[in-house]
Amino acid sequence: MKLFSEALLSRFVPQPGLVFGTVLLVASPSVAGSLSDVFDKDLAGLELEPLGKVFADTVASTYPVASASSSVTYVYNPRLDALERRTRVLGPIIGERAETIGAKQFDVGLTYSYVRPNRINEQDLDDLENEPLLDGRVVSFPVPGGVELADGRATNFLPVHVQASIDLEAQIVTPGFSYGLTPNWDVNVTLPLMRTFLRVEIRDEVPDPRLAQFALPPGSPLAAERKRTFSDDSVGVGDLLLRTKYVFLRERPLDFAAFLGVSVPTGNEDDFQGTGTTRVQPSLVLSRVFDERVELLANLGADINANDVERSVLRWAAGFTGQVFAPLTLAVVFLGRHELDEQTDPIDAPFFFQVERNDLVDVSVGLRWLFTENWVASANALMPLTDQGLRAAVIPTVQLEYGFRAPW
Amino acid sequence: MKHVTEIVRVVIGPRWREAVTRLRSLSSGAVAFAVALAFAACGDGSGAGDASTSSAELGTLAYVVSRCRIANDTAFFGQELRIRRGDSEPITVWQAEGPPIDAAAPLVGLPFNAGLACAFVGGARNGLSFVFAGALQYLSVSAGGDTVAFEVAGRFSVLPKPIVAADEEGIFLVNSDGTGLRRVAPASVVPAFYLASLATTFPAGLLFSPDGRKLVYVDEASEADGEAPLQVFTLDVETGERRQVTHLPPGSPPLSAADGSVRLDWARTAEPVFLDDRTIAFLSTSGLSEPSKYRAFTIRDDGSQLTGVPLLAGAADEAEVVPIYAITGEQPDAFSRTRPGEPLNGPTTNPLDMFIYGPADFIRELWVVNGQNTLQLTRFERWDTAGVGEALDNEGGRVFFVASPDPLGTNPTQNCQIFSIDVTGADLRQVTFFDEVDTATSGCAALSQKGYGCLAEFLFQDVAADRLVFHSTCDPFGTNPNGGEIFAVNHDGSDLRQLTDTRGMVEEPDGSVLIELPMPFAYPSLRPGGRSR
Repeated sequence: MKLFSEALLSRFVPQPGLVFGTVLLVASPSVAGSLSDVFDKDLAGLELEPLGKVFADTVASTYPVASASSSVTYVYNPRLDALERRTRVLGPIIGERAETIGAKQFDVGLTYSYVRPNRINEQDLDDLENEPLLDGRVVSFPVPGGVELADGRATNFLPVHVQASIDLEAQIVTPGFSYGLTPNWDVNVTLPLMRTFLRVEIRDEVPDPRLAQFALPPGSPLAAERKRTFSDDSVGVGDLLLRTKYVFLRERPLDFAAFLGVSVPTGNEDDFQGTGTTRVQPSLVLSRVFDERVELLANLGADINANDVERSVLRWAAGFTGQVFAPLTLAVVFLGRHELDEQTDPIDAPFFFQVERNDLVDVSVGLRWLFTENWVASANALMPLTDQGLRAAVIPTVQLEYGFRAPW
Repeated sequence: MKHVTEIVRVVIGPRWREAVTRLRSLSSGAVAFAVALAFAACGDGSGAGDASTSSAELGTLAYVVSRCRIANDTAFFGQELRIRRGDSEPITVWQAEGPPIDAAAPLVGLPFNAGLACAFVGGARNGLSFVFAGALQYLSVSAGGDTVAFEVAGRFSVLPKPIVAADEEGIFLVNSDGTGLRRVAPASVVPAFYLASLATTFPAGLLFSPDGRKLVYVDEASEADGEAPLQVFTLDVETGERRQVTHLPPGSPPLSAADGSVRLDWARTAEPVFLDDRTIAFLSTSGLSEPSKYRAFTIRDDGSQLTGVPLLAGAADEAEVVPIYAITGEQPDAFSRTRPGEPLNGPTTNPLDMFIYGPADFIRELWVVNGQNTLQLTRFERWDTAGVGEALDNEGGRVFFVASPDPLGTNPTQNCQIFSIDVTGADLRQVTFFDEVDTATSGCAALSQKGYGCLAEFLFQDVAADRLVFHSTCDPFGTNPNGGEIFAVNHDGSDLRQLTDTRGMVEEPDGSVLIELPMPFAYPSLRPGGRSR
């Protein structure tokens, strides 16, 4: 099966409509069932189901939604009585700046991101192992009729040692469209298309050798080891994101903008492609350009879960973009997400991990290149600075952006 | 006379010749008096308790002080219910004194007379035996320690004259400060003992739910068409509403004593206990053909979800593992079970225990059941493991129980001790280190005669601390050599404290013999132990 990335590069046409169609043509057909079935059915009893929900939240709401702020902006110059194009400092890739795109200006972008979490709460997803004993409870297999242990005691269950290797992956192609309604007011719509993949390799051993009190007599036919693999993938759309920004103050001494995003749950939660909830994302955006070369920016807002407000998230961003040399801009932005509560119900018997409230801080480092008058190419890496929650070592993102004026 | 002589020889031991000489000069009614005197002479009988080693706050302890006095040919029985809150002095909230009884008067349904029975109880140091004779049948303290429930019923007494009248019977509630005494329901039809086997149901019988809002007990169903006559009921503490929970079909025929003299049937449904605020566990013979076998069930308090709990008899010859992951449940319950076999600790030489129960031809082990999972925790191959007490800690991770082996090399006298083990059968620990003689042969026998080893029994896990409250005939503080008391000890064996102060068996200045013992008792606990299945 070809990866999305290979198909896209070989058939890329720089017009939004055709790009979208191409993505659909090379998309892998969805298989029957959903990715969550692996946890809910194939591995029922291990209480790994919340991992799917956490991953869906991670893909859909945490990771990269490219900035709604255009790289190229048009600002009205009253002396010239015309819009003046500003390109010296390109906007951030992730995070927002206050400046708008300009009235009747379009900006279209296509972003590709690759998300592959490898840790949860500092535990390696490739090497999960159940706790042998948790408050007197064990992961077990029943033995109807009972069995005599090596020490002569009897029981009708045997504890199991389970080792799991979990491979989660999301490839996200995100077309986005921004339009300047007025010189101070932008709107943006983004609809990610994604392929999510899950592979679980399970090795179990009964009885659990870590619990010597459950040892079987030598040669017992009940002692066994198994290895099984489950995998599935799915292609679909993610959550639709509608955003708007309004600049209400300029250069006093900063640019201040009010930002509002609404995430609509169009993604399939069972395939880890959507959060399953409507989210409202208000924030305050501050920025200022210095010397036409460096722009400082800061964002402060919230990601409000409309279905369960207690599971909302506080968000912030702070950083800068700076011109390295004429067409090249460096963007470094620190991003924070502070959950008000666990994002899913805690696991009753957390033999592998527990769902916790997380404080996540990342850093986004990228380069933006204005390679023609209207085209910007970007490459970015998002890296975690804290270990809580579901984390990838790095999330690479590439973006192509094109700005043009509306014909009306 | 020969029969009585035999009893005296067995009970008194080396001093029997002296006692027989005295007895031959006395009427049969005075035999008991002489026996009691012989016992009373065994120790200093000071009975004065002044041992308290810690000021850590305790919960509400409710306990019955039972007395019998033998003065010449007359026996007197009485009981009082005391409540002790924390380290405060105990208060008496109920008491009853029975009329004088001819010491030679036979008991109802038992081959003893009143005086001899009193002497027996004193010699055995077992105040729990008074449930056969007294009026206070059941006792429970709510988990919060603010309310005490108890049942008064004189109709079951084996005494020729009960110590309470019929109009004084009932189920009562009282606040732990002694106020608010009130009758909430008629007494049940089920006594707190099995006459045929001379066993008691303690501590089960009338128990609070963890939230203290309900009581659970067994009583007679008013409409028993097609149903067993005894069913599980709940009683709302606030409203007094009595509600039938089970509708079990009739069980096996009742057991009778060999001579056919039994007054009461085996309770076909027994020992209900709340596992949580909504789930009740109980035993029943319903649906079984063997009259001596009970099966465990759980049920919701609204009568739904009746579920049989598997009691593993052993191991199947060709067992198979079913490879479907499951996590063992979070409501463990500990119990002891017997199987036929020759125990390593053989028949006890304790004459009282041998006389009443005979040699043990079974092996008893400690088990834990958790949902559909069952696990044998011990393999001591002895007859007394957890027979008179087991309790889970509040987290459900460890089981405390009584036993008499020496698995760790720290119980060389093989006296009855409190041990603990985790619910997977690992990490065995000894909690108490009692001793009475160089070699105890009594094990954890219910009838703990002095000189054969002392007993620890009936463990209550403190709902608010890592502490056990239990009864013991051991005398660690030298305050009651001829009796039993209620004690408290931390899980790690520290801070052992004596909570009651009774006199045991003493000879009074007027020559009468007084037996004063605590039991039954109750203490706030989420899951009182001491049940055997």
